[in-house]
Amino acid sequence: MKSFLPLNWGLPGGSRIAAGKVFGTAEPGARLRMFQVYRFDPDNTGGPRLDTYYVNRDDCGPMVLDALIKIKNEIDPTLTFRRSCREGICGSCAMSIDGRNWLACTQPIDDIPGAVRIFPLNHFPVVKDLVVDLNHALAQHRLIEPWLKTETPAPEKERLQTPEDHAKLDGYYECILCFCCTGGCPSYWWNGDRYLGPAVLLQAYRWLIDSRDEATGERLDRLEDPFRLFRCHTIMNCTKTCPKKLQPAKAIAMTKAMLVERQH
Amino acid sequence: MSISRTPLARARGLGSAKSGTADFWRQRVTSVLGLPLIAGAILVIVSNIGADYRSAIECLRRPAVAILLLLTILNFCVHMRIGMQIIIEDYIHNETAKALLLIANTGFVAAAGVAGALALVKIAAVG
Amino acid sequence: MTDNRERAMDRPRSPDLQVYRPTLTMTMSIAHRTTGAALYLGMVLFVWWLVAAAAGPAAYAVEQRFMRSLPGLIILFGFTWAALHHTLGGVRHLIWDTGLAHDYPWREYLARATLFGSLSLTGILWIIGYLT
Repeated sequence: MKSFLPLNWGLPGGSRIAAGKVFGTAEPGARLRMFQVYRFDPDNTGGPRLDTYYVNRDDCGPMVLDALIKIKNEIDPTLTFRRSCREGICGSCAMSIDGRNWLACTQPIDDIPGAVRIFPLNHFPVVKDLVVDLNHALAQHRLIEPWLKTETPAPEKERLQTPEDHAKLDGYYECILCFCCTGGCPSYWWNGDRYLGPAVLLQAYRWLIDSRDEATGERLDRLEDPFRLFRCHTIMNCTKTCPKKLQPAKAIAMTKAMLVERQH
Repeated sequence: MSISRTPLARARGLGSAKSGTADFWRQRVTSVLGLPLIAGAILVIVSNIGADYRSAIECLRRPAVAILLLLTILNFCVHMRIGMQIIIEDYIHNETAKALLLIANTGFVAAAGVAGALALVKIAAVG
Repeated sequence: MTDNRERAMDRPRSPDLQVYRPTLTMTMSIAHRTTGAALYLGMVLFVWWLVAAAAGPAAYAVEQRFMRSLPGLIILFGFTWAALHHTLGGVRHLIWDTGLAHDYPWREYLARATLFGSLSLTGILWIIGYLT
């Protein structure tokens, strides 16, 4: 099964996806891969559509991002997407590829059977084509105050942390804020206006367990909310769709455990 | 979504309720306590499938059975109420409809719990 | 600025469940919610049984006639599976709540165990119930 719902099922009028243009044909002989890409042009009156491109795999790099760049350079210069580092560290090219969210630059084309279907990160407002509006998610990130908070005057040199205490941050500090997890979270789909989502909650946990931070209780106060934190129902999509192999669901579970701990 | 508010204002919304842990913990307490209770209750229900009136009453009025089923009902009424509240909050975004459904949820659970408990007490006391 | 903000209101939403490839844990999460809601309604049946028994032989006979009919038996069978599935799903959630078994492949094993466990336990229970 490709998905639980058919393509346009339940989508509001302005979000429904029409059949789009087809660029080129599947000529026999060449090792062609079909790419179906979500398109939306805010400067035109039309709604979203799904365009089809054929890319010669023998003349293209191995990753989905290589194919997108090739399409933009050689077939359709209007195709719009974010990308920067092309090595999985900047988080710009996060998108829905073959039914899960991943970085286009670390997703091998050959790992995907059949047509490669590409959409913007799930449920976000679309600015243009594969570019989504992350303003709300980034404001939620701002809300958790993701920086070291201390009252004790700074020491002459740096604030010390033992290797053991630093090791506790392993698996949490590596988040690149690509929002693959948040885009893949059903709780965020239904209640993203109030629920902070896995990416922001993982970041929040990273500051909760930093041995140098002096605002742990204040941070917990800010999170302790039926919607901000407790909308997480451990569906696990976040952990499975993290291109950095981090575990937001575990970070959230441990945050809930900290709240229980301070209550009892 | 109001366009006159900044993203940060919308993200902060009405602020943190500073609650939710109690319900989360209560849901876990009732699920752990529910494990032996549901096992016992299933045994009682299965052993009474097809039982005639007299033997069902004989079974239900035994103190061990009455206590087990009473605890089962009370435990799961608490569990059910929280569970359904979470479902309502997840999907219902109209504030009026949400309030009415949350009230109905509490009413339903209270009615089911009291009816079941009263029936058990009556059987245990009168037969 | 006003232009941009007005445009922001009209932006389409990118699809979610319409394109997300189903995962086992997501499916088990949906099943956990569905069985939970079904058990919520199923509480009516359990209470009906107790109230009927408390009310006397006539009321009890009505309840028994329904529960022994085909719809009644199907509901009871579904109720058994829902109860066992939700119970095992609850155990899975308790394990995850402690931070354990979030890694691959353990999270998948847990999700599979919920499904196979509930199906086989329901089968065993009904075979025993049928034989005795």
